[in-house]
Amino acid sequence: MKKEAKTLTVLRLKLIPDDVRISIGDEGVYSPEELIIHVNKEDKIGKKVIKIESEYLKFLEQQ
Amino acid sequence: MKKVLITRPNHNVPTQYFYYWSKKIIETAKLMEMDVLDLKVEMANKKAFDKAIKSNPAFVIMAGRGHFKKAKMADNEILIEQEDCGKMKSKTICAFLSKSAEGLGEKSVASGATAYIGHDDDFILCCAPQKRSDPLLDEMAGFFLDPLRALVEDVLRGKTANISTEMAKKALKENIKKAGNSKYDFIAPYLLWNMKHLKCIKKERIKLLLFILIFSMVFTNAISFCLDLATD
Repeated sequence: MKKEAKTLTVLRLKLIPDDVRISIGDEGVYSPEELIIHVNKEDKIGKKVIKIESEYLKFLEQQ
Repeated sequence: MKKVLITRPNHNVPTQYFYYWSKKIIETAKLMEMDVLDLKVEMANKKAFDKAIKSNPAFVIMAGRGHFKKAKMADNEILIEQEDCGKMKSKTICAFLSKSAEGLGEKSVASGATAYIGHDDDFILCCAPQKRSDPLLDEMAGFFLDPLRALVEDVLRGKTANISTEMAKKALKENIKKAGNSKYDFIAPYLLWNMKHLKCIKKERIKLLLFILIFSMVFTNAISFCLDLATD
């Protein structure tokens, strides 16, 4: 996994207000802080969030 | 009178939101003089679902916990799984269950369902449950749920499953732009994810898969036949 994508994802997650909750399918409901931990660990949830953010960046490039 | 079966559990954040958001779907169905079989909260269970499905509803709207092969409610109770998909014959299904489109969806359509609309990966919802006591006032969640509510209402009003899904994808794309230019810009990646993974499974797709399978089998046999001839 590219380090740059991970760093960028963490930076974007830091911009999310603390009171926001992100429900990811059947996996659970997470605060932005919890998602940052998952991204740093590069576990299943973390990898998914990195993928989501990376796909969005690609989408923006194509616009 | 057409019947609509809707399951509305209310046991976690996403189902709580859908529980409230689907009230308008129920109002629309009633305005269209449809008979609504509303399995809400504890009634969203297998026993009640099996009883309701026997009354042959034209539309089945399911919210709950998703799985590739199953729809689950509270306490992991399985509502329906691939082996039971025959029950979905002649029904249009809108499923707000993560990952269910590929497995449960394709099997349902192969077993005779008219169409299955759902996600083929995790459905994501960004919301602020602590800030808003009423989920309907949560503007952020509206970006995710309004297009899906409109999708179901379009299906009930008689639009085809394909057109309704495409319109929902278009609405999600507009919401990505709107969110991107608002204080909610951080939700745009998640809206894009949901848009990409929203699928409409219809018989045509199953037929196409069967055609590809049969064609590849014939093609493989033809190649091996030619190779046999060449070696002889």
